Amino acid sequence: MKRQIITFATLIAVVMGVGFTGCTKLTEFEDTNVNPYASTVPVTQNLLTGALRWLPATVNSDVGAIYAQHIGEVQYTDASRFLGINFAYTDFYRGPLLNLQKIIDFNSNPETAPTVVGGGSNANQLAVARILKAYFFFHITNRWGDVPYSEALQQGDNLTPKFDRQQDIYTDLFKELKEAADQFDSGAPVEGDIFLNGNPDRWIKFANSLRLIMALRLSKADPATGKIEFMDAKSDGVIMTDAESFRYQHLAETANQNAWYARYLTRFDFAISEPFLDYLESVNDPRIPALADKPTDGNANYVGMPFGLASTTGIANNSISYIGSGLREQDSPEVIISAPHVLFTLAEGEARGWNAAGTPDHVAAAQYYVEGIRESMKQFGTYDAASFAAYIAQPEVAYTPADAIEKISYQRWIALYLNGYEAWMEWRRTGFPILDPGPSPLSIDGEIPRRQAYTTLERDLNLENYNSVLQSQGPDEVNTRIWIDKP
Amino acid sequence: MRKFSSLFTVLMMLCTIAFSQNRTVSGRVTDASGNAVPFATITVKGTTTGVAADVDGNFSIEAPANAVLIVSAAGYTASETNIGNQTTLNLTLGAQSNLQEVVVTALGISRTKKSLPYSSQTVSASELNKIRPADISSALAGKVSGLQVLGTPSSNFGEGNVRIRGAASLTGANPIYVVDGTVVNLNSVNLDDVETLTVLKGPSATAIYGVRGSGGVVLITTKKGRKKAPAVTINSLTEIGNVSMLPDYQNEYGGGYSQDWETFEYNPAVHPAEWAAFEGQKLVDYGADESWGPKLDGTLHRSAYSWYPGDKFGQLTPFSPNPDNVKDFYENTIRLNNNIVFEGGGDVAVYRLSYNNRVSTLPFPNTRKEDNIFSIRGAVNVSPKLTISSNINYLNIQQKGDRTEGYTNDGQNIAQNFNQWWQRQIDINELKDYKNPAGGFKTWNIRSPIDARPAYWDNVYYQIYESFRRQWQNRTYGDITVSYDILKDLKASVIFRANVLNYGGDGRIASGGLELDRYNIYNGQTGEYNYEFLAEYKKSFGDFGWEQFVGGNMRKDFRRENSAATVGGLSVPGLYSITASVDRPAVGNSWSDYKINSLYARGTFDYKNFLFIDYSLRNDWSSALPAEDNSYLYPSIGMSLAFTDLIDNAGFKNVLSFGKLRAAYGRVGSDLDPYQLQATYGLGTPYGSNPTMGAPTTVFDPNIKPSLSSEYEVGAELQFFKNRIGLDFSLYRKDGVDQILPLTTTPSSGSSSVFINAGLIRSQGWDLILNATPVQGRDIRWNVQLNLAKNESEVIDLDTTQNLRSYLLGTAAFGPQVQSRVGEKWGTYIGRTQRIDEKTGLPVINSAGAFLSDPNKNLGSALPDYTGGILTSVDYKNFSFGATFSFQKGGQFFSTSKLFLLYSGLHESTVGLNDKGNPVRDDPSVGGGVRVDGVLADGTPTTVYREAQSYYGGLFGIHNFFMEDASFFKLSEARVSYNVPVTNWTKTIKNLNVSVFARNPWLISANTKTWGIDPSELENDRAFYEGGQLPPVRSYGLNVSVGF
Repeated sequence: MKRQIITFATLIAVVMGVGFTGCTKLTEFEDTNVNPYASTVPVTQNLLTGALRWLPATVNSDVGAIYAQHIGEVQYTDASRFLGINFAYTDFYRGPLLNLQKIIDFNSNPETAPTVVGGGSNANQLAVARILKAYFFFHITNRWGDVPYSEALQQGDNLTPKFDRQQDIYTDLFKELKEAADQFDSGAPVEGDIFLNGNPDRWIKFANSLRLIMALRLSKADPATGKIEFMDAKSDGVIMTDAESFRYQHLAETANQNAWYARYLTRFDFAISEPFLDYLESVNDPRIPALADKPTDGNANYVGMPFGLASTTGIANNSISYIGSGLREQDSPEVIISAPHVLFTLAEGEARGWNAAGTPDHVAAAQYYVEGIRESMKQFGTYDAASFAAYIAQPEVAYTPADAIEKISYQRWIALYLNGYEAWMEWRRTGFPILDPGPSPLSIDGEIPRRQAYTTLERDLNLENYNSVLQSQGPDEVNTRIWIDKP
Repeated sequence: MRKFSSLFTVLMMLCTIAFSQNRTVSGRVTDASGNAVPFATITVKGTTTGVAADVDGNFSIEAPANAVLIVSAAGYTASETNIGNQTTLNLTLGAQSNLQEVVVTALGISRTKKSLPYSSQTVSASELNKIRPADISSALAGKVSGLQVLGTPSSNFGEGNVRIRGAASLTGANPIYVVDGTVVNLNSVNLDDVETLTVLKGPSATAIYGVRGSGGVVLITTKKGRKKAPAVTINSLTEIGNVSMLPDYQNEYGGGYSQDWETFEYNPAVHPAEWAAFEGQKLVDYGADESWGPKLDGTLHRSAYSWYPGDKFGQLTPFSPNPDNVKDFYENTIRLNNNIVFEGGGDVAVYRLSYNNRVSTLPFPNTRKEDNIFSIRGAVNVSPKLTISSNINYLNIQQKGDRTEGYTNDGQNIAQNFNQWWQRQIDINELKDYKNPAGGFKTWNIRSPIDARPAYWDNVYYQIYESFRRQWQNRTYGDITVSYDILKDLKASVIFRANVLNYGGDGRIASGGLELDRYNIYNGQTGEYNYEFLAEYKKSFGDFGWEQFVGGNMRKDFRRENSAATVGGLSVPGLYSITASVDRPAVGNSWSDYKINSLYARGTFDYKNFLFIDYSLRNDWSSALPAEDNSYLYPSIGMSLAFTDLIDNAGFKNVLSFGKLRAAYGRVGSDLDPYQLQATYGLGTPYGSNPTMGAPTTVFDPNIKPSLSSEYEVGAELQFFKNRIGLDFSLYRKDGVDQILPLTTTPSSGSSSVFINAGLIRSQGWDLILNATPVQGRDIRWNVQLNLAKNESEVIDLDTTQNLRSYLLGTAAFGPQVQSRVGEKWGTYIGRTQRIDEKTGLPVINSAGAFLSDPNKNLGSALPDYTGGILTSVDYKNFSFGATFSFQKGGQFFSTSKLFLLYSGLHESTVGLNDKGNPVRDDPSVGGGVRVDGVLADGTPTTVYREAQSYYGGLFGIHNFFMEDASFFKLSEARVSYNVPVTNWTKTIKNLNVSVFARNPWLISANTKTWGIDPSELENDRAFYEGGQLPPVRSYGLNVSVGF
């Protein structure tokens, strides 16, 4: 009996020994719980590239281009009738902004700063990250108004950030852009910069040009501050030629292709809108062949899509003009900030007297205005000196002080083609172009939206702060005017 | 295979072969109610000759004339029969004995049912295998109270899921399937090998499984070799099926968006000169994928196919209904299930070898699934005290052609095409010719006469023949057990278990269709290894008994996967290889390891075999938890009292033959997945040669604990009138606390979710099992079982301190969200609903007749109120009839098929006459339109006739119109079998059983029939919604079982 017990105990020891090998105690697992295929530390230049890949999303929205009536929907007209009101800024916060925040954190913490210099000098990384972060917040606040800013992006340290007033956000963005532009040093340039190749001079001009556009955006809400920031940005140097425009180059591969190319791969949901095409044709705009294609049904004329129809029955896909093919090649670049936009901004500033003299300078404004048109034609590849001269000579186009802002705005509307959110923003600020909400709008007041409502996640998960922003800003509706849109 | 055969030989040599000159007596073993009793033991009295009956109770034994046969089986009193001169006879077992009935419980321990303090329900092999289905979940439908089968379309491969006693956790925990102690996947069991299946429903029964037991446990014990003469059994099934239900389509109008015909206008700039002759021909709106077009009145028109080069080019065809176009697309299904068993054994060794081959096809071409399962089970008595036993199972599964489920934009879901985006007049036979001689593929949905590429939809035959998926699996699982009887009352075992799956698959989108061509492939390995020991001690001390088990387990789980997919198309059209990727292919690889160590003990004390106190304790140490706090203890305790043992009154016992009360408490946990304690930076899509990274958005709590569910359960088991009526009732309340949740967070915090311990979900209800034998005669017996359960699962709390009030479970395509919200039922739909005027009860509409609606409303819960089933069997002489009904009352789901059947004008309710007697599809200006009665926003009652397409299109986005009641009552299985008295004619064949059966024969009632949806087989694995449900299949089959 005793022998059998010993035999059995030995057997147990041998069998269990196989299982317990390398494990001294039941409670210890060494590094079993470490994922060998994932990194717990960042490579900051890869975070930067990741953030930069989001730049096109700020300028290629179909909804934005619909609001601005650059395009119309061919089949499902929900967006053109303003049906959806809640739009998510989710991907901006969790994507580029979080990446940029991590770059800032890792480069400013003395403990981690030396570990990330592979991405460029700490100062240069901080400068680029701050400029980009300001750019994304500029885009976000223009669409939604008051948004979480000062308490945002703190992850587990603050899961319910408060909403900051747009005025405070603008104030801080001006400061950030100025400080960041001054922060570049002579150390290693940033790595992974697929946008401006780590060139500090380009980044500084990007920051200044953005600041100039932001400054003019205060023309309704706070022109005094706007004027100061405007003159400051202008004297720091902004871009003036199409060659200097800030372009994001798409690649001829699926993963990095132009969004419009992707939208036309299997569907034909968008065409140039009728009101926009009508205006272009009314001024004999030489840019039309670049902005639209002729219908494929053999029609020799361009045909715009009527805007905001309840039903598009009877309008065949092949009977209307799609967006110009040149703008939707797989690797077509997208312009993030364009020289024409900057030039029209300068023109409007001069027309408003945002200069040292403090009075409208229509000579300078007219100069910037025609340069804006010229650079826009260059941007769309339709420039030639003779047609340009003929175009600007038309009374409908020629600069006139009495309706300077209207004229500048219409040209800016054309120049910003497909960058709908910026065009829509300028429309909200100036009231031009004059847009009609279409025959059957579904928005709360039957008008074109003046902001977008928050993602419902804020209401569900950040209720107190959500309620308090409704108190300060107004109902979470598309007809509530945000601060920069308040007359 | 060589290994199998050599092992087989060894076992054959070890076994002793019974030798006899007696004649053969054969027959069938039944219980007092006439139900076949599987695997009863039949011995010849006074000899050592004995055999075991098969799954259907059939036996055959060598015995001399006038011998007495003793038949015995677990759970029954034995009976004796003198055979006289008969060579065929049926043996009837004595009364089912609650003293004796044995059930398999956690850790595979067999216990008398009487001693159990919690409810468990056993499904016999014959019930389970009524129609020999391929997977466990469909075999269980209706057969276990408190178990809801979350089915899957019968026209697709794949298994359903089961949910036991409602939602055990916020995220919904699944039960585990344990085969002879090894945790396996639903699809890995050869049901012909199953001896019994027991469902352990709550933590009081499953606490000993620690972190794995929180969703319940389905315990399967397989047939082992027995001490008997070598025997061979062949079981062969052939089944043919067909699609049993389709939506009620309209056949009055064809494709298009307008009833007015378009005509061909010749344009010399774009058309070839010979097309001038086509001037004025009527054209369908080819690009339309809806059916609001012209009347199907036979008008001659140019179909899409008339623009493709070939004989049909230029032909005019009548625009006529094809009411059976979808029906004609579907084909017959075939299912074969063949099984062969060799078994036998002697004093030294027993063995059982089985081989199962299953083949099935779906109701459309180019589909096939084949399973091959080899099992070998054996035991060798090395010495009187030392036994080595082993179960080894090997499975190979090859599958081709199953379709994507859910709403997709790539056309891979064929049901979505027919039921959502379709032109009703399409001639399906024309589509069978899908290859365009000029290159590419033909479709009904061309862009225009001069551009015959697909607009939105490829030809469905292109999808099926060219763009399909395949997958394969190789799984090996089983155990090796060494047991030793140390002392008379003390036995110990060491066990090694493994379950290793190698799998792979690929998918393709063919070149030349609508979508960019694509190929993807993946392969991986998952599995677990277990090292266990178990010691058991049993001892009686006078009136007291003690049974004690102590065990330990070390488990290692692993997962590896590699995958790759082409990006940007294929460089050589039709070459399905990753190397043909135009852009850099997307690759993925994953790796995860997880270890858990456990010690456990279980014991029962009894007094005079009528009062039982039961306990279990288990401690788990998990590698996935924080190192300083990775140990958790799960206890359970219970009591069982067989109170009728205290009563000694024959009259009373004639009424209440047996009565038992029980109460139990138990706790189980659920662990984290591996690698959930530390945030990691994801690698994103590179830009050229620039890699990208994404900062982690999931926030981890380094102090996270396992979640706990604790359950209280009380119950009663009563047998009346000498067991003619039996009742088993349980009442339970289960609280899931400290749920480990990735709670969604507001995006502006820079995070997507935070892993926390939060919340309380309470699941309470009752289960009832009612057995009755209404008719019992000499040759006839009728037996009925009712399984009925009610459950309510409510979310009591989430982390309200952080203002987290809801957890998103899912979102239906174009439908509402499914949430767990504080204060509401688990699985509550939150979406947009029609606005109703409180005064009049009428909908609020605008002047155009459009319904006004409001967002963020509660649209009901996915969880049913009642679930259950009815099993019935009638045995008459050698005939036996059995049927299974299953039902569900309540529970909602969102139907995307209904949404688009209406939206696209496919359903019959979009046609017909309005109350003015005019076609609803006519324009309201000429008396048509859909009548809408409502009130305007200011309360004024009004009636509007709304243009039909706008009316049905306008329902889009108002989710309450498409919330469907998932209640159903169906006959899910029926079978008639006949035991051929074959031993009258031959000695070679010991038994022969022939049966015919029907699977899914009759959906007796369901609200969703008109939409073509069987709510018992929703595609979504949690039964929340369907995005393009495949149709159900009804099948009929023949099964022949022969024993040699």
